[in-house]
Amino acid sequence: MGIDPIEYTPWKKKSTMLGKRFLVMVEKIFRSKIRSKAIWVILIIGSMIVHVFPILLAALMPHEELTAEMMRDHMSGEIFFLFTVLLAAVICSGLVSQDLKDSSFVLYFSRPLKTESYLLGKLGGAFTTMLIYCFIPPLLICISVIATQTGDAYTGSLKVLGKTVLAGLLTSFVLLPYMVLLSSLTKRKAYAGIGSFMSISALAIVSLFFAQFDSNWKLLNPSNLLNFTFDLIYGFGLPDDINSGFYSVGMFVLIILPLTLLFYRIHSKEVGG
Amino acid sequence: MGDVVKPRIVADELLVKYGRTTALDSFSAAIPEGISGLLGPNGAGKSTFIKSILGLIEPVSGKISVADSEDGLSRLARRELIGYMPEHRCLIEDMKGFELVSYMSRLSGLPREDAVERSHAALDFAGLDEERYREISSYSTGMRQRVKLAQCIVHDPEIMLLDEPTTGMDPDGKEEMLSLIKKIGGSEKTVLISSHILHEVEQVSDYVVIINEGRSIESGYMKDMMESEENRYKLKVRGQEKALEKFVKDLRKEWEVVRTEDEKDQLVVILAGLKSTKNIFQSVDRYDLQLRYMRPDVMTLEDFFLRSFSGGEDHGD
Repeated sequence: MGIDPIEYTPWKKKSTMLGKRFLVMVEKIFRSKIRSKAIWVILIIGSMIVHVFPILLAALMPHEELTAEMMRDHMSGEIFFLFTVLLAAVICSGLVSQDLKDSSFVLYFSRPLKTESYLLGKLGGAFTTMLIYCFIPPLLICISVIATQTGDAYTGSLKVLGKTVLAGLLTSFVLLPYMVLLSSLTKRKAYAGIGSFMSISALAIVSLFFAQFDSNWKLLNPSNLLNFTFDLIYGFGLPDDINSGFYSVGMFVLIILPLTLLFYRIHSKEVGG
Repeated sequence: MGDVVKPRIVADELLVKYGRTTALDSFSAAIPEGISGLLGPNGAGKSTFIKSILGLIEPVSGKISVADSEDGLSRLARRELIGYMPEHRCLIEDMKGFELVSYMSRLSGLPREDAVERSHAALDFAGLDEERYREISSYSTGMRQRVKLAQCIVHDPEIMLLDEPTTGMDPDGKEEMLSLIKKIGGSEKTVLISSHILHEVEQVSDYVVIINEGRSIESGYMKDMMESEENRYKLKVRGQEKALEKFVKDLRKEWEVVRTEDEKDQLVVILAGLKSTKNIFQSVDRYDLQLRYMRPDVMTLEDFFLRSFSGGEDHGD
């Protein structure tokens, strides 16, 4: 019967699938992020500096095919990484901190939403926004290079395109677990944002200093870690002076560890208060 | 008290602890369809019970079953049936009222096209007009309470848990909120209101659970509770302090003195189980008192509450 004696009729239709409800959060976050002026400023400036000129250059310069080296160099650019960090920091800073500030976990978790779904929703929303800068432009570069190539080796070019898809997806995601974790540690969006940016800068400085003594210290810098991953993706292999075990540990610490900590942090909000 | 007809929420020997503090201690209750009040002082365990129903708190032991499920539904399945209006600040401040209700409805399983329509309907019902298009950060406490109610009912849940629904509202707002709750109770819904404000619960509830220090100390239908004491009288007498004391002492010998209230040289006495008034007049004469009035009295929830807390003894002074 529903709430019938009052002014509206009950709702008795079929509910959406439980496992897909995190997509509502993804959509909500994506929509709210692309309405943010700060994000557009970073996106426009970053894309102009990092992507637009290379697209024009790649199309205008005579070339035979799209090479792995060309795309590896593009993806490993320091300015590319700088804007990736900036964008990720701005996107992720308020993702959980705002819920902490507003005490709104209870709104989410009084609904049939698991910790996993909440995290998928938050990370998915941030990830889809990151794609605009980290995934789509490199793909456009590949397409423009392939479209204007003089040689016939399209298979090789398409392979590089495939590898770029993987590299773009990874770049869009790699910093998110760490930054969302930082956002879950404070109620202040600004602290989370600045903390994310500063901590990555600090790691880069420490890494630079100690790398004089041992090359493996380079792995402390997320930028280097990502660049080594590009080397692997594009088929160049890890540099000789980098230990593959340390590299794996580095990737674990950058992605899996923050995800695990984040899960337990949010789970304590779901069941426990 | 009579048995609960068709219980919708059943708590069986719940034990909930926060560290070393016991919040619910062997707490058992059966909440029927309709509006029920969960009454108790601050810190009695009301919110803990509500959070336990939602699975926001995991009990150390005991069982909760919701909506006829013998085996106890999973946390998520329970939440699917429930709408929750939290007591404290919880709204997402940078969203507009309508946006929030629509977002929450979609998280509760409404498809996009229905979410818009239902959100407007819920906000209309809750009495939030054009303000629904403003950011929540600019809302008054009353408006926030209305948004909380709207997000609680938007997905048409079978069970609604309202934690202190009138907190921070002005008197008119409180009245309006209570009338909205009454309207919800007019349907086949189960509404559990947690409150420490007795007259609010009395105004809307059909059933009451009184909780103190994590234990259910009394529960039953309001109608049964109010009728539990027949031949109840309220009388006011005037006279010397010592004479009044002796008068009350005499009364206690023959009847149950529910409560006494001092009013300067006067004393208000509520008596239960009074079959004949003859002896009262004799006592009044004996102690040279003036009987200002004597009339039949109806038991209120406050009386019941006080009696529950004092274990049936006189709680007045």
